[in-house]
Amino acid sequence: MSFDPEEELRRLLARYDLLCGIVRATWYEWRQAALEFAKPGTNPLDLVKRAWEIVGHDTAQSYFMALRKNSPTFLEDLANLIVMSSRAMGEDAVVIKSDKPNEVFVQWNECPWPEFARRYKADMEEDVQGCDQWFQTVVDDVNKHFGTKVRLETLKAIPRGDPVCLRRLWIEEG
Amino acid sequence: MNYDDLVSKWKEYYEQMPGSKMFPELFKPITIRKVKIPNRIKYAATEDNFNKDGFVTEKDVAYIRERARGLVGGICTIQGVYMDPKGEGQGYVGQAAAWDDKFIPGLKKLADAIHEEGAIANIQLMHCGRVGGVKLPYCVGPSAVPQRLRVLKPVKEMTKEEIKTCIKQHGEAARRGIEAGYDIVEISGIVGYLISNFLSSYTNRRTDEYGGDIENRCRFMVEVIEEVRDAVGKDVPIFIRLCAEELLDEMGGNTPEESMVTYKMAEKAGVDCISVTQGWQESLHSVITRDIPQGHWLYNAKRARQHVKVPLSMAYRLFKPEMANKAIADGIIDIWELCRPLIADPYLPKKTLEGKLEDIRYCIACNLCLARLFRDAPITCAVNPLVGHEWEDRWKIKPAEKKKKVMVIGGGPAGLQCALVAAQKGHEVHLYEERNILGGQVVYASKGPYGEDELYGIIEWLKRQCEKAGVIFHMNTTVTPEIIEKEKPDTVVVATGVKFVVPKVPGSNLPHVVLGPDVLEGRGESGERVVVWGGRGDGIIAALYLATKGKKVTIITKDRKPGVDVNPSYIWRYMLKISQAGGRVYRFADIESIEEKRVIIKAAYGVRIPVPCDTVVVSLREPRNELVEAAKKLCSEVHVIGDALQPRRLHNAIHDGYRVGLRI
Repeated sequence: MSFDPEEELRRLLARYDLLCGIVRATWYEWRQAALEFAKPGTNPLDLVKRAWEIVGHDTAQSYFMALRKNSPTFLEDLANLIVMSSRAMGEDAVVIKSDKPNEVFVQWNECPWPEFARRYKADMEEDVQGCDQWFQTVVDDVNKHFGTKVRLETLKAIPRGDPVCLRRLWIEEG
Repeated sequence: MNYDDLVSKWKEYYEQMPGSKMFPELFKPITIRKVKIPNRIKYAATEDNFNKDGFVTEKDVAYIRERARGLVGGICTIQGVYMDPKGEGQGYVGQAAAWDDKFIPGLKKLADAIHEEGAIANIQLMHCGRVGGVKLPYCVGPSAVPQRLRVLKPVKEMTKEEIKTCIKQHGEAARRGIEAGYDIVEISGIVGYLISNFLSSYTNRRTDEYGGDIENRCRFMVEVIEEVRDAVGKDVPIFIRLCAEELLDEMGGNTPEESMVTYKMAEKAGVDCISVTQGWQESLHSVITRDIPQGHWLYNAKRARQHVKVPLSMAYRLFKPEMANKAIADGIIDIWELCRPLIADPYLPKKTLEGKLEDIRYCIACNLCLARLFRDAPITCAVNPLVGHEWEDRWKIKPAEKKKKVMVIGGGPAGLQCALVAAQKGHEVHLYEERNILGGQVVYASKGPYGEDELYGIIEWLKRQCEKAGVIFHMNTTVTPEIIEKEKPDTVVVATGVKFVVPKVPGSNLPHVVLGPDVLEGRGESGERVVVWGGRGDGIIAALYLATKGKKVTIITKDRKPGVDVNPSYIWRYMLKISQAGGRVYRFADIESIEEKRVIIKAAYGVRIPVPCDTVVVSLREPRNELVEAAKKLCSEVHVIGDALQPRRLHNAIHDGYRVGLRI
């Protein structure tokens, strides 16, 4: 049976792309429903951060099997996992090595989430702080699991108008 | 106002001007009710986002004054004003308001500016309906029909009480317009604004007296016209803008016949002039883009003429005075309306009158103005850098204090615009171009198959104006550091544009890897299956060009979508045409390797895909700025502009050129 491999892959990619879009849309639709049922005066930002915290715990658990505490590239491996998760969701992210030991950066060159935030009239700050909450939860859980002292800092954020998102990961000494 | 004096003053002036002989129909007066209008030219209402909280700003007054001055006695319409305190009718963040008497002084400033320039002042009332509620989480309409465009707000159905209030608000706003000194009141009923929402079977699903058959759907419009008439009295002309053809067949909109019923009902209700329009913002069809030939829509005015007796006006792809003059002579329209052409050149009517047609800077229909409006930004114009800066002295071209010898390197839009301004300031300007043709990237962009040749008009205009201003052209001359040293300019402007680059990947040196410009200029052959590497504007043009030649095109772009730098009015149409020709796009993708009969791309999510292809057309650009360092060593004043600074779009190049020209 003859088939066009490009067409097969293209179709799969298109469907996957659509699915990622549906996932993002569903996120904001659930947010809207949750806010409608929430106690009066609920701050959407609190709701969003809590949701990303739950996601973060789940993500961290999936990372535990892939990380080795004694690996000399532990921090870089963690950064690569974050990049992998981001790419799987349609973001364009890369790990940037630092000149300093025990320090790496993750840079997101493209991210589809702010576009969805705009579409669903959500505050852009929710997007930044939601991501921060997710990564912070991942880092906290990784630290608890491995007994490490990984720290995280957000330096740039596309939803705040920066050209890229940039996060610094480092291992605190001592 | 004494209209007889106004008409006779202008008539005397017209008679001395060649344009009144060349275009006699355009410079004939017309009387509508008590208003005598010296000529047949009208500046159509244009939102500009220059105002704040509904109050007219000095920026808007200066902008309108400039248009009124250029109209040489024609009708100058101000932007549509919204009329309700909640802002349900507000479709643009910087839209002027007329929902309270406190707005009258600002509106009067505009009317006074128009009158001081000898033109007729027209105020437009515009409730934006389903395009409204720009600062609200909703908008209003006759029925809560979901929006097709995500950018628009969810629609809330108006109650009868709200309808009655809205009608009264039209009357009150009209009264404020008259108090502010306007000669004409115009009602907007087009493109998806409230009146058109009531008229259309697409958006009006009501079962009360405001919905149902076309007569009932006209009821809201009729009551608005009657209310406005009551407010303004019998002497003031009421104009209305109405769709002759909605182009909403796919959504169940009105038939063209039903649209003509709306014309007849408007006439019966007492309007004195109808502006014939077509299309909605939600329509799937081109209306004002370059793929629509000039004069195309006149057939709708012809249809309207068969149904109503009131004067007709028309804008929409009717840029040329000869075409408008003929349309009036042929009895198709009575008044020539212009919107974008007067953004591009407010003096178009004056230049027409003076017979200086070669000096008219025509709109290139890029729709940058519209794109900015829909992004809540003040309008700008690609070809007219002064738009929005009319009130700022520092943007005006003034004689230079010290005459300099200026060397402009590169004859693209940035270089030409810079050379023009510098020469108009009195400098000795030499423009060097290494090819035998001016225009830089516009040369390639204008090879597109859907009316893109119109783009080259701005290059021709810049060239003519440069020649008039005394710019000395050095064609077929590649500037070297030796030439700079020999010529000893006081100022060097590097406007050398871009170079197309082939990234180094396995196979990138194969013979079937060619550059986009080579294909567009016929220097490179392409096979049947073509991969276009790069999805910015130049890649899109190459893809369009190839698709119309029957090639199967695949665009590979690193961006989140193809044509991120192309105007939204155009890109969806371009992509539709490419897709209809069997074209494909890979986003977030790049080429990893090139083989004889395929390329391997790394697409989104890191997936590798083999894409069969016979030719790879490279449309990736880098600034061409090798001369900058050498120039800096030889000259104390060096500027880098346009794509040589950073590859961008046409308007960036022209605006760079203008600003740097002012600075020299």
